[in-house]
Amino acid sequence: MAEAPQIFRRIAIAGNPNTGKSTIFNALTGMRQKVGNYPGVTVEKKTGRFFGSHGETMELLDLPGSYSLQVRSPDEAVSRDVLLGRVPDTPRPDAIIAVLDASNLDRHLYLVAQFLELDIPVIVALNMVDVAEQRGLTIDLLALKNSLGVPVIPMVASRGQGLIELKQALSRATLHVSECKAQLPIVLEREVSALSRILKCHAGSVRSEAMLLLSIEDERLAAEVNGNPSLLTEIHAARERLKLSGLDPIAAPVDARYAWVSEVCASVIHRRGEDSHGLTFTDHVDQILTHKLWGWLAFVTMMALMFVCIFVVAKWPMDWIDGAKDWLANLVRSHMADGDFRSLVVDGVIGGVGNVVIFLPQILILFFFLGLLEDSGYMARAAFIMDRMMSRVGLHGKSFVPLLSSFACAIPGIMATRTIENRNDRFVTILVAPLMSCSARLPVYAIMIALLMPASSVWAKAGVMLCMYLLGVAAAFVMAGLFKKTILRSETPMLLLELPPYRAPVVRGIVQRMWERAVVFLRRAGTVILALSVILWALLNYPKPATPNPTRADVLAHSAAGRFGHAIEPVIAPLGYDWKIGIGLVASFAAREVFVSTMGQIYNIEDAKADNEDLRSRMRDERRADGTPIFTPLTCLSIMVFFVLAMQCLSTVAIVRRETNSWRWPLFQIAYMNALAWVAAFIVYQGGHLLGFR
Amino acid sequence: MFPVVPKLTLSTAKCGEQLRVRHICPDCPHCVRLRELGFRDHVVVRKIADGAAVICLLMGTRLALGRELCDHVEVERFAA
Amino acid sequence: MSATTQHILAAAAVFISLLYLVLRGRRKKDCGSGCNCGTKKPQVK
Repeated sequence: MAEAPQIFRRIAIAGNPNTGKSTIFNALTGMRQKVGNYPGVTVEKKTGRFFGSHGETMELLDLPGSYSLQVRSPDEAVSRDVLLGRVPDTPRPDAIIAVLDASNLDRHLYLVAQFLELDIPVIVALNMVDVAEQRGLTIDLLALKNSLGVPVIPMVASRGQGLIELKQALSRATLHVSECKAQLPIVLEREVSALSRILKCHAGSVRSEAMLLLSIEDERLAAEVNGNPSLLTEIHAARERLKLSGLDPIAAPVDARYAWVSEVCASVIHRRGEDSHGLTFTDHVDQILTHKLWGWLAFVTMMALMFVCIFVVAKWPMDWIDGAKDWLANLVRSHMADGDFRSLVVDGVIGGVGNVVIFLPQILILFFFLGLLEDSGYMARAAFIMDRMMSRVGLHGKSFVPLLSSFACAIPGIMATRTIENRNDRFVTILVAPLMSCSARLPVYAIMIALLMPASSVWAKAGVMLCMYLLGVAAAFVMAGLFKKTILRSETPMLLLELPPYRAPVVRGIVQRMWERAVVFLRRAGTVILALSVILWALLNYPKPATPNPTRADVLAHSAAGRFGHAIEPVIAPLGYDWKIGIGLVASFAAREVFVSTMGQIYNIEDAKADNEDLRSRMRDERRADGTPIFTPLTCLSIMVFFVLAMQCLSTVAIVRRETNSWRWPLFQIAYMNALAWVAAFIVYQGGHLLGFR
Repeated sequence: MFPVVPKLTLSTAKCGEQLRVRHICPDCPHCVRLRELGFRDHVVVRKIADGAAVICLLMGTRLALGRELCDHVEVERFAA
Repeated sequence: MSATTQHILAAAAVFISLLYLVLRGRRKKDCGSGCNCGTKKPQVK
């Protein structure tokens, strides 16, 4: 077995949010961590390796963005804990790459001031020097290097500029800890030293730990000292002494660091011409996109456009995949004698997997649009315009970013809640995030809309799909409001959010993410969906009826799945579903897309003559015992509403368990969402009936 | 008797105005973060949008702040 | 292909599928982001 290479140096990439940390990480390691133009893309530490200038192996740690080591949210806590050596399985880094936005140096140097207090060698990656240049800022690199006492590498990470120099700086035999630090008031220094002597932690970080404990707010202090009463008493006594000498322990270190930052900036930043206070491109766009009325209109228009494209553009590739699927099924039929295995291949494998794969183009278009929103910087604006609405249910706009991410998949959405400071607000957002329609629901909506309104225009179809997405959003708001008033009470938080400048989306990056998504989707279709389809085929075909030459309908009714469907029919009949839909519904709890493949299998088995017929037309012709159609508009609507609100994703359950550190919340989530789905589908179907709809 | 002049805060200031921070309430927990983001005494900010929340430009960065938070930031008009 | 062969092949396919799902549930796959996507960590560049 090959021996694992010796790690020469462990390096952490840290800095303010949205400075290009993950871009540098990806460029150095060749990995493809998600990047985007909004704060909070990375919420967990990521590890990668690369070779230095002399071939030595380096371990690189990409940390979530943070404004300060005095953390306010779980993602910032990850960075602080790693840098202070608090994480048991992660050694304290040997060096820090501090990534700074060159166009915003005076604000980003604050965190560098804190890094310099950590007694770890720091290398400054001065990213986006091109943007600073465009804004008329010239940065004296030599002066900056001398002021900070650390190497400074100018970079444009998105274009790979400065990477070689960065590697060279990291590969130096020895890296020195800088002697340059912000000068703290002497009384504060004295208290920090006294507290350092009684703290039991990593020798290198003990001073920073003491500083953080002295300058933390009272509400967070108790949790930080972990119930150590003597330490708590010491800290309170030190704070009292500081206050008596006229120093605010919370504000004093911040002011001292900013005073140092101002001094550094005064000597290194040269502005060409007058500081322009005119409106920039971003300001002009923001006047529309963050406007009380136009902002909303723009948001809804963008969403509507996305769904129209999903129907219009995806139609052709979907037809091609459908044609290929039929061609393959016919090929197997013409080369294989009738029997169980042929039925498995045609109905189970080609029918089951093909009916899911057909929706790949629509899912990719959804990801393309979400990629545009993330890369352009619009996500933070969406959070801003949603703030008013979110505050009505007791959350702030920041909670909307995880919800918007959940349109792609609830799992990254739930991970993104780590940017939310308050525990209760974070849990509320986690509980409602799966109500946002993820891409796995798209195939179900698409097929139901095709049944609901076969002859309607794409605009009408896109409108119905938009309504389904908006229903998810509305349900998320209502439930969030309910949870905030009952089980997860807390004050409405105050919004504090950075709005990044607009940037042209990097199409290559978006296409790369679409490609990755396609690979994940196809791999899932070829593994889990395939295996589930094969097992479903068995459950739909066995046990066989004892009667000789049974019809396909008899086989299905006699099968294990058929019997199960009949058994649960009383529960789902009030929603307008028959036992066959019931089978699909139960199967969809393994994966939502399986509903479509199950329907495909059921109607293939049922109607052997219509093998080549489209699944949609077969479903449309399906009748109840009294001759009335099963898939009436009301039934289709009821199914869609059920899928909008139901919790049917095991991966989401697992991630909620991990993020909440308890089984209580995921179990509660399953219970409330499925109960809500049943009740809502019941109201749609029975209410519609009472109003005379069919 | 002098008339009582109401305090000018970031939430009551007009949109588009250049402002200078006079004082930030020391008690509010979010105010530490505000300071860390650069809202220090005498720093110049510009209010660029007003609605349910406020957008202001501080040291080249656009920050969205909730109105309640803006109430904690006392400002004065600043002529460039 | 005889009916018996088809029976055996179908049974084998069902068995393999079941085995795959069971083993997949037991195996821990991680891309490092905790998203359960099943992708492995890329190699060192």
